[in-house]
Amino acid sequence: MSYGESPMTTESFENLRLELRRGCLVLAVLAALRTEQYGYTLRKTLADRGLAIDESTLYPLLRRLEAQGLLQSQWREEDKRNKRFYRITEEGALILQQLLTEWEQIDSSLKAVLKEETHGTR
Amino acid sequence: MELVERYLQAIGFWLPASQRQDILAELSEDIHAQLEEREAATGHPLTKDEVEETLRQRGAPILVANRFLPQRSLIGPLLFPIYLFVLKVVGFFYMLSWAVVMLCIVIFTPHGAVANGLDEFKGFLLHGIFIPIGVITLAFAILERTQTRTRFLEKWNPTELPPVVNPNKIKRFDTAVEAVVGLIFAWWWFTAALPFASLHIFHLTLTFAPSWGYFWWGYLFIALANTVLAAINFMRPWWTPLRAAARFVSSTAGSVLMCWLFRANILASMSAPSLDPRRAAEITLAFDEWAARIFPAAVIVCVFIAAVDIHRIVRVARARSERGPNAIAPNQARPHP
Repeated sequence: MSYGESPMTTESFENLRLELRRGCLVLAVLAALRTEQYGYTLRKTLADRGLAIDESTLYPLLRRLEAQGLLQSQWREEDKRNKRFYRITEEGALILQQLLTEWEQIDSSLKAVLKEETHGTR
Repeated sequence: MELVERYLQAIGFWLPASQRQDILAELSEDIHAQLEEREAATGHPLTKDEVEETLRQRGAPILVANRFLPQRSLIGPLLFPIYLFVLKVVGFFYMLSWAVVMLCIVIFTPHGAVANGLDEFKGFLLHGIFIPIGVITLAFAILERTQTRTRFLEKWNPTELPPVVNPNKIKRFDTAVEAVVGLIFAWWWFTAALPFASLHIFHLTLTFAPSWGYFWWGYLFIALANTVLAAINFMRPWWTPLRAAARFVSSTAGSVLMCWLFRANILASMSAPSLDPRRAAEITLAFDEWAARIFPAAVIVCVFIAAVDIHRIVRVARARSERGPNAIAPNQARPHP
């Protein structure tokens, strides 16, 4: 905690950060599963790219996306162990495309707002 | 790895049977992959403590299982504010009705038995509160399930919303009624219940104590003051701090007089041709005794009236300070933004 930060501020930040990340994780998972992966490698892939996600968040999310028809899964043996491999469906790919467009719009809108604020405060 | 199996079994306990095996198989694979990777990193088979630490980092079994379950609540965020509101309203009326019962115990129970009566009553009060709370909670839980299916709360019509209520605006009809009733009362009081006089009802003659004169003048003055206030309110139908304060003063004066009246042994004697004088004296005594017993109830009613008046003063003062010095009267139309 840096100087001037109260525990309440830290807690508020943490809650808001989690809220912000929640939507992004769906995008990240869908994007990462354009290549077939099983849960553990997916988790590592995301963590390596700075989007660490714990297993109790990832697996329920994968199930939800699969139930919505955006992912498909298959149990297969690999290295003498049964693993469940996930891959994005056609519908999932379409949704991902739409979500990415939305994401870019939000990003540019936010940048515009921040730019206005910066000019306004000068 | 027995610890991992125990961990998975504990998670499985909370999972729905239809998905249990599938979820556990996937979690098992994930845990084993993590443990193997850690073994490779440390270069030795993991100790029991290291396995324990890994599992602890994953979270308590019930929390892990909970993430796989659909989010459920007995009363959801949509209905919760309504639930809380209903609980408050029912709680208020529950307490009010029991307060009336408590008052009746104080008034009607013989003096020596009041403490016992109140003790017994406290038990009913404390246990009884759980019944309405339980019934309301159950009703809202059912409503929650119905709302989830039918979405009945989403069907609404803006035109059916209640009109805007300004509590500081006075209804002209109410003030007109108040002024007329005040005038009729003052006239009757002036002609029928003269001070220092006896009241004749058919063949019955009621003679009041000498203190009756204070009450007579007091109530006459209050009735006239209230009539004047009602007339002013009729012409300028919104509360101002001054008029709200005037209403408080008149209510308080009336309340003090009423409480005093109950304790003043106001009925001095009564007589009627067919009434035995000894019997008449007993009835007079009983009347004054019962009036004195009702005194606590009168005090409560008066406190309630005073609270309403004080609340009005605070509300009016707050509204005025929020509107600022250049405020327009609350009954005047405001321009639309």
